[in-house]
Amino acid sequence: MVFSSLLFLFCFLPVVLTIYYLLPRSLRNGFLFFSSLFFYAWGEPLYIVIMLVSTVFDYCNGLLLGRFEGNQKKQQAVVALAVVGNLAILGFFKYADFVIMNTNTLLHWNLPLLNIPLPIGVSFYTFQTMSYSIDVYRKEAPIQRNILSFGAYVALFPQLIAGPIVRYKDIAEALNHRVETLNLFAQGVERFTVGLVKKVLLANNIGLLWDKVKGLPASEQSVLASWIGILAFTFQIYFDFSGYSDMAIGLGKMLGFEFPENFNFPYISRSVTEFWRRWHISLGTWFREYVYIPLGGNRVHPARHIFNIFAIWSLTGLWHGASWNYVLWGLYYFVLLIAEKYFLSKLLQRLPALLSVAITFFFAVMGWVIFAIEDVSAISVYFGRLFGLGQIPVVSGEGVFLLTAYLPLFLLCALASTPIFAKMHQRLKLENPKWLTPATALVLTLAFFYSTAYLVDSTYNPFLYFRF
Amino acid sequence: MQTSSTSALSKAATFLFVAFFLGGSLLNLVWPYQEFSASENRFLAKMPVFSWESLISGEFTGDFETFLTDQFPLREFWVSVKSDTERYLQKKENNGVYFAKDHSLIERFDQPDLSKSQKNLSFIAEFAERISLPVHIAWIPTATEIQKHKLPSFASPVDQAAYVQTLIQGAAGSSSYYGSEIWQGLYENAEEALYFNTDHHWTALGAFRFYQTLMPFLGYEPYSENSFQREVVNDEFYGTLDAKAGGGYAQADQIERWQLVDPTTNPSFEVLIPDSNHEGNSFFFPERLLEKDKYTYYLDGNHALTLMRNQELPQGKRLLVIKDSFSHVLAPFLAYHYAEVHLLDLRYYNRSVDEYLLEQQIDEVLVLYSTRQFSVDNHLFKISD
Repeated sequence: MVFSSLLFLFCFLPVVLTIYYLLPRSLRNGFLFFSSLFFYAWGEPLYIVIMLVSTVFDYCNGLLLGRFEGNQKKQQAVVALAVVGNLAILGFFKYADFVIMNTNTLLHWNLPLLNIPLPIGVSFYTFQTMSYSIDVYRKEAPIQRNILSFGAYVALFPQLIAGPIVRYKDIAEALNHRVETLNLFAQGVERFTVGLVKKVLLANNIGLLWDKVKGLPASEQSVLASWIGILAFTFQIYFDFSGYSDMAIGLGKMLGFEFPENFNFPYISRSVTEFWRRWHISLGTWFREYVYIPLGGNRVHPARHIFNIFAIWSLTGLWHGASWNYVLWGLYYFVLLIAEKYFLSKLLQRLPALLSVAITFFFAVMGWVIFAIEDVSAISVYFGRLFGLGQIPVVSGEGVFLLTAYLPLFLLCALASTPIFAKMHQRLKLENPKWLTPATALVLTLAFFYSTAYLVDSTYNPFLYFRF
Repeated sequence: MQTSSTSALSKAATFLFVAFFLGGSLLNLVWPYQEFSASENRFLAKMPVFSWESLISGEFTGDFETFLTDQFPLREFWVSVKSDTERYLQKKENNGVYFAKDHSLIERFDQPDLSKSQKNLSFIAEFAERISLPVHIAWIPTATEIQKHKLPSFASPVDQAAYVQTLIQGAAGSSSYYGSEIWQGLYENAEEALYFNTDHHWTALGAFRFYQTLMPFLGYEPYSENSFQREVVNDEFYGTLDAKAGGGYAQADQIERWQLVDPTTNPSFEVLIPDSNHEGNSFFFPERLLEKDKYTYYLDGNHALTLMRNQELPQGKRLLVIKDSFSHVLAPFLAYHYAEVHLLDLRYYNRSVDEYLLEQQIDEVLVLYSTRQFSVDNHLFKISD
């Protein structure tokens, strides 16, 4: 199930919230666990088994860590088991075919592919459960002895599908002793609505434009159309992903949880380093805490440090998908970050803010070319089009049509990528507090209204020719 | 500590959220079940029947979501809200339909699937070689070709004349192929209402302009415009494009009845539709004007076979037209010149076409498709033997 569906908004969520608030506190975690399983099973009835196995496995690892209290060797073995076990699940379901394909190419073998569909959210929940064992081992969080509460952590439907990646220690306390309040619930409503608008009204619509450009025939390709296309993707992925995170954080608040932030206006960054402090923050935090720092971080010899960064970015790339373009995309950022760290950071700081934002944005867009196109050989073709190499016109009729048709949406996306709306909200709060409530109410109503209209339309399917 | 204003805000936000989504879900529960959507021209999904197998396969959950969205309260209202919003955002199109000038809607036609079209044409060529009758092969252009001036600025639809030319150049055999030369009557009168504002079909006037250019190629002298009496029989037709684009933009269309003026030259016809056991004397079906899809006024819409017999011209030729629905409004014009015009729709006709030709002693065949339908049609293989 996805949040941006009529099913979630008008069936699942109202029912779950109603029951949740009718139940006594002691039963709420159990209910969250079961409703999360239902949420997951709706689209993946069989893969729920993997999640249950993963839950029991990590729950037991936690108990073992408790039993081996004081025996560091044994505890380390348990953590190693937990990490290997989770990586094995992730590796098998996400990367098996990728490994087989590359082995076949490299060794001229002919191993058959397994064709396993990817279990939704597996990249997220395996990272979460690994954090549990590690946090407990590091004594940064207590052992969870209630399996229903632990299950609620693993399967928690708000962040199950697309994050943020919530480390166990971030919500260990809330899992057992959270307090739901009206104010927190209302904050959740506002946050959820922001995410819904980003996803349904911005990402879905600008995404259509990227699909159109990808589908243009050779005769309609042009430099202009290629730029429109990749800019559309740039906004699509940001609003899609950050919108989903906003919805997750908002839902968390409605249920009494405070999840970590995941995005902080990445497209206004003044450097690539800053971009990565603002983009998918919870993934960066996870890698820093559980991989980069254990490898020695930056307190090592420069060569080793560069290797550490290389390792992090190859893994970050690969985490995004089992395909070489993602690895390439990770390495692209490795190169940019090293260049920035060792040569360019001073220069970037001296540039006017607008210029350094523009440069950073440009490199992010170039990165999305590598990210968006899975076929590695097609990536260079797309770069060729962007920069007018080969026999490609600068402008095509369709390019101008798309530009004029989508200009207002582009402007809206560009504005929504900056903190301008957040600042307006803040100013209203300080300068005209009495207008805050009516203004917010109006915006929420419009947002619910238009999101519903676009969701209903997306399933509207006129049958044009005949009926049987 | 919370100030009173934040708490008022919290109450308002929570209230709105609960009212909208919980209220919406309750409304969903009590909303009356609707079986058929007139504007979408299809049956809506029913509540799926539960079984463990369908649950495991994912079929049940998928069907349930379709059911939920199909039966969503005020569905058409929401769709029109989206359509209006797109227009205010200068989108120039919605769901593949241009908001064209003069309050008309025009369906996009950008990239015909050339290999599919060529395949379709090869079925026809094979058929034409086999049957040893004269076969004429022609296409009807859609509005994006004829009424380019009505499209939103910078729209760049496919060049349909070039598309047809490419097909003809690659075609095999000795049949007569007609390219854009038979669209002259349409091109020259492009400012007229040749296509509906709200439907993907052409109007009677459009069909007439086409008829005027086509007939000399088939060896006949067409009747002139003022030999016909035109009568508006309905002026509130909202067609398929209106449904697709979401409604509210285009002006309602008129349905016209064209008949020869001079009663002495106006022959009487027999009109037979075997699959609905219809036997009548008119090309027009006034009871269809009460329905949503008023284009079915012409020859009662889609049927496997439709036969028009000209009582005054028994010595004339017998023509078989293998066609899509664009021919429904054109066929009456043809019928004045032949002893019999048979319309055959391969989407519904599943018997052997070769046998039909023999049975009915057909003299000539006209294969006539709209360009857009031709590029997506999946039924032409049926004539390939």
